Amino acid sequence: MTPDIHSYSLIIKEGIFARIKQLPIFESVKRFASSPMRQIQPEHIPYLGCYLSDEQMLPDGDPNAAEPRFIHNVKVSFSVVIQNNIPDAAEENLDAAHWAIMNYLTRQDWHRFPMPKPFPPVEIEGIAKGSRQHIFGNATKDNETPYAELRMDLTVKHRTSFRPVITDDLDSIHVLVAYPWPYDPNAEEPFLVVYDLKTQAWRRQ
Amino acid sequence: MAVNFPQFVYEPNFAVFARPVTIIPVASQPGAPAYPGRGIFDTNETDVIGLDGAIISDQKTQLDLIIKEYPTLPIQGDLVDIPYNEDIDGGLFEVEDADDNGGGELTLTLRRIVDPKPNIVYPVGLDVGPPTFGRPHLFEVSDMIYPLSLAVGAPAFDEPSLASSIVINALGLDVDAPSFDAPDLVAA
Repeated sequence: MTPDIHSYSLIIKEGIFARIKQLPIFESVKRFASSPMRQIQPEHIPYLGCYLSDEQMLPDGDPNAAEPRFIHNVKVSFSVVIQNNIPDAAEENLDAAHWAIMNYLTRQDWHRFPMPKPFPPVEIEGIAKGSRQHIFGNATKDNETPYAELRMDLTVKHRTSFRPVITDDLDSIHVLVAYPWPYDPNAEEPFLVVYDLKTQAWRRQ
Repeated sequence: MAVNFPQFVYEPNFAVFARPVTIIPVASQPGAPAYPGRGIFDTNETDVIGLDGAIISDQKTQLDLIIKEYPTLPIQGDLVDIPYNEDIDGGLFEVEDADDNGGGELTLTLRRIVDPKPNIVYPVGLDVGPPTFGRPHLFEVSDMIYPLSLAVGAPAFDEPSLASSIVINALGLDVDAPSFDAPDLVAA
């Protein structure tokens, strides 16, 4: 996944998810899911989902000056589903899963995701917010299987800038000088002045 | 005259549809032995809504009993063993809810006894140690900042002054509303 095709937000989400999957606590997980698209069946428990739940983009600086620039607040959510008939044990499991995900933040490189060349690494600036809930079964608590779900999210912050891609560079200006005014073509020869400009195309050379 | 539902409705139906069950009264009669019974077993599809609208597929499973057949009714926490019967599987369940329909029938909502998944998590949890427990250093902050803040005084509370517009008006200054500066898209 590279930024020429995918957004930094999804790259960050997938980067975090790939690392969370490697935590020893989740080695018994039967299904890892990147989205809630597919139904979770009993054989998929324990289940770990990591979703891009929401993204808010605020202007980075004045919104009406220069190119569009954004501060992204990306809500990366985690769903850990377990089953246990004992309520206390279920909650302890959910809490342990939560703490393991939080513990990911102690990694030295938790905020940095290397990219293949020529792309620079993708980096998170910070975590603006987080939340968690423990959910036990459905709303009426009358489902058969003693499911318990950890729902937690971390809102990570990064920035983007959409600089214009100039395809019609102003490389040179040609000025034909005819002097003095009113110009008499029989008195003086006109001459041409060429201004070569150091444009983006020149800088790319 | 009221209809005797248990006699004329439930008993004929239970004679056809009920299957044998064993009640293990661990909550209603702790220490008492398990006893046999019969009930109409029913299970239907129900979904548990997970994070971001995820669907966790599940069943809603119930067992109907005739109340008069049980001197002590099952309550939440009792176990119900429903053995394989007439080519239909059952299982071991825990009573989650018991509802009386007012006609002599008790409906038990059942929760299946399952193997815990995962079995154990915490012993393999934090392999790099827990993060540092953060404490706010209130003493240091008050010791350093508070005296300084008194020395320079509190910053002015900045609030919009509605009266100032009257003063400006009296001075004859232009108090018209600023013009709305719409971007000139055509000119650009």
